[in-house]
Amino acid sequence: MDKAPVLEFENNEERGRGAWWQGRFLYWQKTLSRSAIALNKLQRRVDHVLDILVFIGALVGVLSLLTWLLLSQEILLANPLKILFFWENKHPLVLVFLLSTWLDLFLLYRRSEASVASRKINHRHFRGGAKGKPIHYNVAGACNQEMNDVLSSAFLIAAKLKQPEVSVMHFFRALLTSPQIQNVFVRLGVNATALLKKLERHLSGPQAQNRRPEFSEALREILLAAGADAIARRQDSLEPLNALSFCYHQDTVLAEILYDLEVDADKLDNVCEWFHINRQLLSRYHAYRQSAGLKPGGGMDRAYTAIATPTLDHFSHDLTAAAKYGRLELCVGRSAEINSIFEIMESGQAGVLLVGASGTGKNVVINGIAQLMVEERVPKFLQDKRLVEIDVSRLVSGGAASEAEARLLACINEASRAGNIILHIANIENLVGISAGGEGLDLSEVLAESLSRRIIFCLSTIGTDNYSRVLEKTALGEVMTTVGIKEPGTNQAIQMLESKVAGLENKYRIFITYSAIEEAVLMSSRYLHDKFLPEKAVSLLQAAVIIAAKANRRNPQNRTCTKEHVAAAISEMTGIPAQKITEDESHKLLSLENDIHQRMVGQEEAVNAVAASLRRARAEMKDAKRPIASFLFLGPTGVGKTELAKTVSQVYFGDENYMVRLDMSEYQSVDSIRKMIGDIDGSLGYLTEAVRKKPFSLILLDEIEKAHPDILNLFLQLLDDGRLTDGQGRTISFTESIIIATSNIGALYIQEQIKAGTDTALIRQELIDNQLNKVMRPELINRFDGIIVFKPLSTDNIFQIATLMLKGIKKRLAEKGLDLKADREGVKLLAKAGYDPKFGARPLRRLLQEKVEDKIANKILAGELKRRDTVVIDAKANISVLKGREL
Amino acid sequence: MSRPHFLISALAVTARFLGNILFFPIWWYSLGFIRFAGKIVYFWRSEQQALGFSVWLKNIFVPMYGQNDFAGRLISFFVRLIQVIVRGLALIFWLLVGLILMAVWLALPLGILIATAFQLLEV
Repeated sequence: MDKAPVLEFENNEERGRGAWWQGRFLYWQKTLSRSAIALNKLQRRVDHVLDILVFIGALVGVLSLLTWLLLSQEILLANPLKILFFWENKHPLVLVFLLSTWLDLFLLYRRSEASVASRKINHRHFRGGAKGKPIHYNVAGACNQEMNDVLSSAFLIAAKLKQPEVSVMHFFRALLTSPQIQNVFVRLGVNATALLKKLERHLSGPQAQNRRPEFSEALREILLAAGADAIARRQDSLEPLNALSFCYHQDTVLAEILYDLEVDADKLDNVCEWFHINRQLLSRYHAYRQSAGLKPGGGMDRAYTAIATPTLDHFSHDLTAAAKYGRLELCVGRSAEINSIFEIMESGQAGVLLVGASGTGKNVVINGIAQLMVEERVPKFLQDKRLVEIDVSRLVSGGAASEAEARLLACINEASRAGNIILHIANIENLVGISAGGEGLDLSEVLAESLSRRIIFCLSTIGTDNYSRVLEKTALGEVMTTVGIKEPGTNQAIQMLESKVAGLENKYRIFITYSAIEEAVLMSSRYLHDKFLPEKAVSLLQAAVIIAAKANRRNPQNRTCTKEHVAAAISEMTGIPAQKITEDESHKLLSLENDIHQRMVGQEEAVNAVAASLRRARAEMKDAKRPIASFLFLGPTGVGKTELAKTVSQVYFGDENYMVRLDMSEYQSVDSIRKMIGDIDGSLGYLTEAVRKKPFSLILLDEIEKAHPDILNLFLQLLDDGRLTDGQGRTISFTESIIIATSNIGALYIQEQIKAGTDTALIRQELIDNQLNKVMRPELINRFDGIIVFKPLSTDNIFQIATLMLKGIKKRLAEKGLDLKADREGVKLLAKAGYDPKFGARPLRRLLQEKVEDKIANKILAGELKRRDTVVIDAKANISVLKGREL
Repeated sequence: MSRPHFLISALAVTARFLGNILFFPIWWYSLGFIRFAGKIVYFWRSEQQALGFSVWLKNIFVPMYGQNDFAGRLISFFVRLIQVIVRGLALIFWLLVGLILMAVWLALPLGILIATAFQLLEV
């Protein structure tokens, strides 16, 4: 079922509002009244009681007969034939049994009528035009009991509120009383009380006195569309589920209410589809088991015309036999592809090649064909045939290429002689290149030759990359017709996943909410770039289910897999902190500047710009097709450009190790492109490989101005589209990366202007206009989210940095059980000595190494410093030791 | 429910029940019999499919196991003939069972009626 039927409504004089659909005029005619509803209710109760009474009567009859048999066992043992003529014995118990048999027959009659009555829709009326069938169809007659109850309930709600019409809102309120619809909202994770509360406010409008409410026009349209939906799905009757999503689309207020509860049109449609899929799977399974019994499980066809295939059997698996015994997974949502495969086969082509990326479900399509062959729901030439998968690894293992060729030829020969075999070769690229040497054919050419002679029929699969790389220009590639197996869209993938949920729920004894399924598809398509839907979503959901099952191991009553578990699973798989923005994290994001300043001194403007950008990204306001953020840091050396990049990696990704650092001075020649993105010969690029493995990372391009212009051109695309194609042709996504480039261009200019007190905005503009454009193209400069000028450090900054560095030393000493105390004046002295306006904070680090760390190290080696001692830096920046207490 | 409402409802329910009882014998020999016969036919057809009778009959002159030589063809013909006869007999058996069941359906109410009358009447 792909799309809900779209009806065009018109007014008919006789039947009222309706629509033409499949050659019938669908209309709605149903008169409801309080008394009719009450009578119907009474009638059902009476029927129920009657059924019970009749059943008891029938049971009493059987018991009477058994008692009579016990009482007269002596006579019966003497003459067992008398049992056949038991009715000739005049006895009250026999009479009771005979009377009860009338009840049995009556029960049979009632059951049979009830079962026929439950099939409300006669699908023959909708097949092949309008010949001889009534042209008008009253959808009201198609409703099942649950739907009729909902309609009665909606009518009573409107009547109680004295409304002139039964509106969509009344109907929707009534729908919520149906167990089927309640289940839908449980799956959606909607709080039922909140929904009812919101609905109650919209149920009453202006009242009408003494009037029986009529069904509103909008509601009739919903019911007609729901009826058409039920017919299109070949259901026995119209159910509440058919009407649910039409309500959403018809009533904007209702849509708003549901939207507030985080339910949108797609979600509602997908959950409804989930319930339909489950029903279809169940009925398909019953039909399947029935027809699978007729399919031969062995190698022979039903007419015994086939020939035994011992060699082929040895090197293959029988997929139809596996399907017959229910060992293959069900194929959902691929009927278009399967139909096109059948069409190609019917047109006389000898081979079909399914081309698609790994994980898109090529093998599932093959399984689907095997299942259809078991059910014999296939074109005639495929009926009573076997689908046999050749195991290529077994074919080529343990022998020379010439032996493999002989084996393949024997298999093809047997398949062709047997006449009831369709071959399947998974990953057919494995056959290419296996050759006996010299001028002999390789395995793929042997197969191609057999296919071109039309002596066998072969299905096979291959990955998209391998197809263009290995097969496209070969004889085999030319003789086979390709069918693309595309990656499904979001909704299609969600529905494919839904078909697997029942199995997962059973296996792990867990309840999976819709949000978990949706999140599995969305998150996997966002974060798992080198895999494909639906497989990557399935494995993600599976991981999430395991996490949820473990988390709730002690609480089996409450085992639910939610989207938080999916986020935890993706986080585990990729290291991305993808959990929903919690209170704590929001707080962290809001205090990003403070956190950065724990490690960074000064550079307020730069820190503020970076923090604001990161907040935008985390609140998902950023453009999904670009990197999270990209900055160009300008400024003299030693002012904290690299330090800020490291700090961002630490604060945003949780670890400095998420930083990929590229020293662009190593990429000064054209050849270095290969080093960066790899090449077709198979060598991997440093940048592309790092990001492919860890898409969530900070890329630091140090001294970008030194790179070759061709390398800079690569970054044009990267900054704009968030992706780069590597040497092997793979697309690497940078949408989860932060790109930071640093440059020393104009360092001297910046120092001079800052000294002269020029505004940084003016400095930046001057740098862009007159200095940067000499080494970088303007379009590249424009693509950065922010160009940030780092100011030279002041003496005050240097003092703070010295304090921070000493804190680091103190931390390292604490690991050895030592303490460090520094006099403020002493630190000032050190800061002053280490300050060089040209080199920023770098000389300070060297100074501290010489004056502090080296001295401490000497003292430790000389045995002057022991555990619990304190290192003291006094006002003159001298180092002394304060002895700790003895134990 | 008010009193007149209740009376009307009670009347309607009783009328429907009486209608049900009156319609029951007619149903048994019309709609009921057709549905029952339909089920028997369905059962017989699926038996036919399971036995593969039509497949054997259609291929009676086709050699088995691809043995296309004269001897193969001759042996195949006789083996298939035996299969067709045995499977045909099985089908006839199921056909008879079906016919008997249909006869039982038709005779059952009359039989019960006679037996009940026999029990009640002094003969």
